[in-house]
Amino acid sequence: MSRNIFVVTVPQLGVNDQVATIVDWYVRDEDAVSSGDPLCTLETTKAVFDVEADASGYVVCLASVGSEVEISQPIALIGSVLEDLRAEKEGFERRSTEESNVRSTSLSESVKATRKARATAQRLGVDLKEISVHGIIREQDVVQYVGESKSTEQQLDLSWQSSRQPVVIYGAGRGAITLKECLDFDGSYQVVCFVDDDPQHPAELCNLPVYHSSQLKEIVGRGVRSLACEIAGGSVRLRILRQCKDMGVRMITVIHPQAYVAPTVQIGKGNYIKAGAIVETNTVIGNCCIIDNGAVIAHDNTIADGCHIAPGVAMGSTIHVGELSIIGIGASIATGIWIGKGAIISVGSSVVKNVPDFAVVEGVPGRIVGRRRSEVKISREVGNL
Amino acid sequence: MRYVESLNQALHQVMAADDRVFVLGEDILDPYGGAFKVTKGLSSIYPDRVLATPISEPSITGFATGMAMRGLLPILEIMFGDFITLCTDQIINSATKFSWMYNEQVKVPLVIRTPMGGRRGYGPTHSQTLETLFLSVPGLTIIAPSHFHDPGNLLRKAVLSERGPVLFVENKLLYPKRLSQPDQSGRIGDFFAEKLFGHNKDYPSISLSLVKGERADVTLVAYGGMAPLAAEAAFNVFMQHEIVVKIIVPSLVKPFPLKDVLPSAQESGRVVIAEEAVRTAGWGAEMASQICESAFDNLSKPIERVGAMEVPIPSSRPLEKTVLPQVSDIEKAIYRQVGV
Repeated sequence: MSRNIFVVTVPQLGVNDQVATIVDWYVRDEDAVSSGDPLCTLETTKAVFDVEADASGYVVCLASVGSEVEISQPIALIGSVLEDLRAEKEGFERRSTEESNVRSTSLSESVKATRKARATAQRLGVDLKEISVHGIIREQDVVQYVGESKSTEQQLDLSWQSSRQPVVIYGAGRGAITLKECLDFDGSYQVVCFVDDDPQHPAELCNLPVYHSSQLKEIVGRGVRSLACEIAGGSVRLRILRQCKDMGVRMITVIHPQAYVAPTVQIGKGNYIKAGAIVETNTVIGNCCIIDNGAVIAHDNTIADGCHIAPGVAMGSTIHVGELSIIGIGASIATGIWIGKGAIISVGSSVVKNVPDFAVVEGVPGRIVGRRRSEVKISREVGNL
Repeated sequence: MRYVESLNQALHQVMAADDRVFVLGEDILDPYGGAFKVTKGLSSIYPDRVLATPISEPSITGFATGMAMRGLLPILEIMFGDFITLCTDQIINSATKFSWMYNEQVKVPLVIRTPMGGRRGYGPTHSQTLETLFLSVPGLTIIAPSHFHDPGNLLRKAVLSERGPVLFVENKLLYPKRLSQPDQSGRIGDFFAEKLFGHNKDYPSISLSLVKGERADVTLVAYGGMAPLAAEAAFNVFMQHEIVVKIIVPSLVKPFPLKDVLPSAQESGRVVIAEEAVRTAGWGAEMASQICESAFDNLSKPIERVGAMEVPIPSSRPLEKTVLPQVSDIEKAIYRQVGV
């Protein structure tokens, strides 16, 4: 150090310890010491050890009895000029209080949030510090916070003809436009507005207002008792179905006039059967499925909750498709096949063997190429059904 | 308070509480106070009841067994857990059998304390986790406190309940570690903690979760020195992928704490068992078997065990890291269970 001052540091006393405790000082501040004199006693979990002076002169102590010090931390200064020593000691003490201040402020400023939460917060322009949560902030906490903070925003502007049932469409993307077009064919329903989770949603779609999903309760309160949805994710549609049940709202199944659905078909809630789809005799469809344009579903099939049968799919008979599975565009499924839950059949594949849960199938003939990544999320969903 | 201080305090307390308590071991007298200082201060206060033994584990286990049979409460320290192999015959054929063989005319309330575990570069014969060799011995209780438990309290119970023989497994790496006890709101750091008494009222398991009251995605079971690694792995997978892990840290290793693990295993359907010993015929293997017997239909995946490679533990630190299970190994197992 400066001006011939020798710094005494904590030696590495053993493999087992990174810290030591000062048990006692043999010297007091400004005592005279000679090289080799014992200065203090240090204790670790394994040993008790005396630290000796490596220089002669006056000594000042930097740490007190009973304090815990780290390996290589300075604990004393030895020098020949007392004024210099005092100044140096003051410098040390000032620096260490500054350090501990910095540490304590940085701790209180750091908010604990997962990687996904941080990314979502950044995307939606949310300050993590404003979210109060019992535990570490997750993505769902950020989304919920955004929903809540938006709820006081917009005045509702809803109106409909008294002879028609008002419908709110959940989701304000392109799929929602097709859904509205479809509902417009049905004289008994009238779409009054859209709602969306994204706080950056457009203000208007198809000349109808778009509100944030947090205002759904308010909309229902005004008398809108039917909801339709064409959002791409099965888990999301099922979550919306649960919300509808909680609010006493009907999640309606929408069938395009140019779709053929046989009289003996049983369909659950919240499904969307699009133009050109064919669903034959005795087939059973659960809740919140999308049967897309031109999909052909022969007789005696079972499609469980939350599935998406994409455009042009060709299915034989007596097939089972498990919850939250996606059958890709133009895929073919042979008669009698069992497809587990959460499966993905890639575009154009042909399924000639049973497909296990969460498998990803590709090719002609279809082969299992992987496992669906959102397995945990889907298991949770299915567990909640 | 540190793990080692908790144990030291407990030893002082039991020595004061009961004159029948004796402490024996190699190099345990003051001022040295034992290789890991767990017995520090005892011989100064109780010179007649703290015995320095010769360097012969079979002999000292033998006469500690005899002391127990004759109405004393001996606490025997085996300096390194690796030396427990020398005590094997006394433990298996004498201490644990005599009560049965003599039709309960004699009890053997012997407590053997020993530190297991590596990660200090101490080499193949000073780093092992060998309590697993004793898992099938009838009549033996094995306790392994973590830093989430109160090790002193568990030791006190082991000694004063007089239900020996007990193998009390400490951990070298945990000795200098500060104990992590739940605060007033029941949290340990970011974790929500709960004590589970389903298996045994005296030796509870601690359950830890970063999320309160939600169904976990994976159940992670780890005891003793693996507990800090389990906590770190659970934290990392949550921060990275929001995977919810419920950690169960038993203190009682044998008899097997199935009742503390089963409810979570049934709920999550995915189980990872992390142990410092090798996996073959180990604690994880037995737990996995028992969990399957009771909860097979609830499991979504085969139970995974994370353990050491089946080679001697190297002295070289980088090689030791390769052989012993690390936090990343536990994370990988969790990711495999969940399909990430």
